[in-house]
Order: sequence, then structure tokens, then C-alpha cells
Amino acid sequence: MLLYIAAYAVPAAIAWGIFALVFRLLAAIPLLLPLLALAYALWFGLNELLEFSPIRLSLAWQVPSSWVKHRPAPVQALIWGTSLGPGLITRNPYAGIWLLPFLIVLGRDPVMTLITGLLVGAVHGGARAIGVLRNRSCMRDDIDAYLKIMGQQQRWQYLDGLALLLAAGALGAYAIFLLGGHL
Amino acid sequence: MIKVERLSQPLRLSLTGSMLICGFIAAALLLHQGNFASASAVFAIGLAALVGAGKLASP
Repeated sequence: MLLYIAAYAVPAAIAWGIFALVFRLLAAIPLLLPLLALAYALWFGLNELLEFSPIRLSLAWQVPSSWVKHRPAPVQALIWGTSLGPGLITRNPYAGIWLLPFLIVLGRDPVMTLITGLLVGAVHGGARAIGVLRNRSCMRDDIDAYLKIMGQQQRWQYLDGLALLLAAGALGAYAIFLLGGHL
Repeated sequence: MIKVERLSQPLRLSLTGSMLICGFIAAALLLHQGNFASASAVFAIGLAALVGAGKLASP
């Protein structure tokens, strides 16, 4: 089980570490990232909580079955982990994933940006692996588990919306602070 | 049959306002203390856990 979680968490940490450093180049433009992050968090937070638009920023790509068919279980886990762990290229029902790059580069220290990127990747990949394992065991025990998991997605979407709105409020204060306003 | 628990519209609206205000006040306090960057990093890690764990199992 620990190896399975590591197969997701390690590639995700590496991918997010690199992504954080590349995305950090945009931080050279003053106010760009905080304002984009504020607009994104506000729009998608309202959307997820109030459900006024079905638009989702997500790729529909899935791991082709030919990649995993007839391969040993550890290789399959590594392929799944590398593809799904970072959460950047597969389907994602929660808008919160695309707020993460903005939040990672808010700090001005490049070392802190890298460490945050690595931790975000490791936590995302690890949480994803634990979710997969939990859902698998549910599906083994309960024939209707898949339908229940689908129903639970709504609750997760509300939580994601709440987190996005909390971030939007915070980013609003941060934008005012950067513009020289007194809080 | 998928059972979806939906929140009522007034509750959603009040949650929306509360979250925005809480985020604003928390950030204002953190900016005063100089801890905003660290707090946003911790928040990002928590959000990563949320969006990672909430995804449906494909494999």
C-alpha cells in the first residue's frame, strides 16, 4: 500500500516542483498573478457553490487501456501514478486544482516556491492514491458503491467551492494590499 | 439511484458571503503579521489534499 501511494506521490511531487518553478516566471509581472487568481477563485467558487454554469476547466484525456494491459501490477501502479498523481492532464471535476499554481508562487522566495510545489504535488498524489484505494475497497464490498461515490462528488464540489471563495476573499485583501491600500 | 444532497439556495448564498468575508479578514490579519505567504502555502497544500482525495477512482 505504501509503495502504491509512493507511485502516485513521487511523480506528482516532481511534476509540481517543475511546474512551480516554470510558473514562477510569470510572477515577475506585478499584480498579474494575484488578480488572475482572484478572478479565477471568485468565478469558479461562485460557480461550484451556486451552480450557475456547467463550464469546467478540465481535460477529458484518460490513460489508454493499452498502456496498462498485460503489465505486472507494480508497472501498472507506476503508470497510473505518473499519469494521475499530478492531476494536471486527466479529468478533474474540481476547479480548485488550477488555483494551486497561483497560490504556490505567491511567496517571493524561490526556495519556498519549490518546497511548496513539491509538497502540493506529494499531498495531491498521496491523497489521490488513498482515494483510489478507499474506493476500490468500497466497490469490492458494496455493489452500489460506484453510484454512492458519484453522489458524494456533489459534497466534494461544495467543499471545493467554499475553499475557492475563502481564497477569493483572501486574494481580494492581498490585491488591495499590493495596490497600496490600508487594511 | 444516485442520492445527491443539495444545499438550499439561501444557505448557499450565506455560505458564499461568509467565506468571502472570512477570507478577507484572515488575509488582512496575516498581512499585518507578515505571514500571508506561509499561510497561502499551507492553504495550497490543504486544497491539494481536497482535490486529490475527492476525485473518483478510475483505476
